Amino acid sequence: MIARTRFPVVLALASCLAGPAVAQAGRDDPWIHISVHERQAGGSSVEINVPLSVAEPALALAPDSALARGRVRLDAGDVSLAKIRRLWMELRETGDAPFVTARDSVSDVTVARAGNLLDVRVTEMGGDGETVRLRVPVALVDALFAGQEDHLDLVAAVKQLQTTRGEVLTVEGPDSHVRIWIDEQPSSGT
Amino acid sequence: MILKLLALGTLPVGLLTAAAAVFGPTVAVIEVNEGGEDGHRFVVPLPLPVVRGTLLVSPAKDLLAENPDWKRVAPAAGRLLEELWKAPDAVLVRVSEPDESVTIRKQGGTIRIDVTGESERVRVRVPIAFVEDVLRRVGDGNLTGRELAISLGRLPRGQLVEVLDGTDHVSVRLY
Repeated sequence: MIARTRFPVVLALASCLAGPAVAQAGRDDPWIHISVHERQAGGSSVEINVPLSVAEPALALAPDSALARGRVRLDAGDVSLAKIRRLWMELRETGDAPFVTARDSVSDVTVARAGNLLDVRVTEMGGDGETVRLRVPVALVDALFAGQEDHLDLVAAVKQLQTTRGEVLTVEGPDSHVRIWIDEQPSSGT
Repeated sequence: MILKLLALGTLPVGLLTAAAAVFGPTVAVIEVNEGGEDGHRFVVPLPLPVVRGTLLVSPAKDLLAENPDWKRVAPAAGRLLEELWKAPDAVLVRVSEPDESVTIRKQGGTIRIDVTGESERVRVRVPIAFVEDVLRRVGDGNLTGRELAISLGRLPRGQLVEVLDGTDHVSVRLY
């Protein structure tokens, strides 16, 4: 009898105590992982794992001189960002095909669309033949170019990342390997 | 009769426990141990109620009046910490170099920073609730001594800082 009357009280108490823990454990919020590994033996490595929900407030922490209202001003040299944006809008509508192929004595550059990814490959001619490869989701590039004139919209990019899963960027160099990806695991698993 | 005495005896203990839960830690102990044969040892117990009491009666002056940048970043930093607090425990940053490693992890309600070098080790525990509370007060307006005194009540017990440098050892612990 006593056990029967105490049971609801114990159950209510357990619910109160376990509720927040269950709510936290059940969260499937996206986490962004950044991993940088030097290839040589004993090389340095950096691993960063943060919930994507901290990215937006983190942007607001940047000084206004660097980032105004989540928009960064890009100095693209001789070519304005507005021109690059217009070029992107035209090229993105084409199917899977190389957008740009440029080769000279210094480097070999290929920019292509492969499904939902923008694939950039830069190979250094001569020297140690360094190859850098970036694979960025097309939707992320769209979000970055959502800014006006010579600004990239980082807030829009972060919002886009909320719905992105999988590889965001990979850079394969001869000395190091950089990888950025998003999943729902707090640990990078590397 | 025995039960009554027992109940009366447990009352002060219960009240003290409740007070400790409400008012937070009561003593900060700073301990410095110098290594070597002639090394000194200092133990400085700092009664936190005295610190908080002093802050409570201090003039209502904005402690960050000369640092307006803090007020600008406080709301965003507070939101960042709030999101971190809600997140499950995880290793947030791990840097490994041949002679040094840095780990920042979220563990419970704290951010733990662990730096290990060849002969030194630094461990810092940052209580999220305390920092978030201070940032909220900064963001809401002015951070006065009184506001800081209230925030100090949110500090958790346990070790806050530990530095091992060769044979020297420094620690700050809250009780």
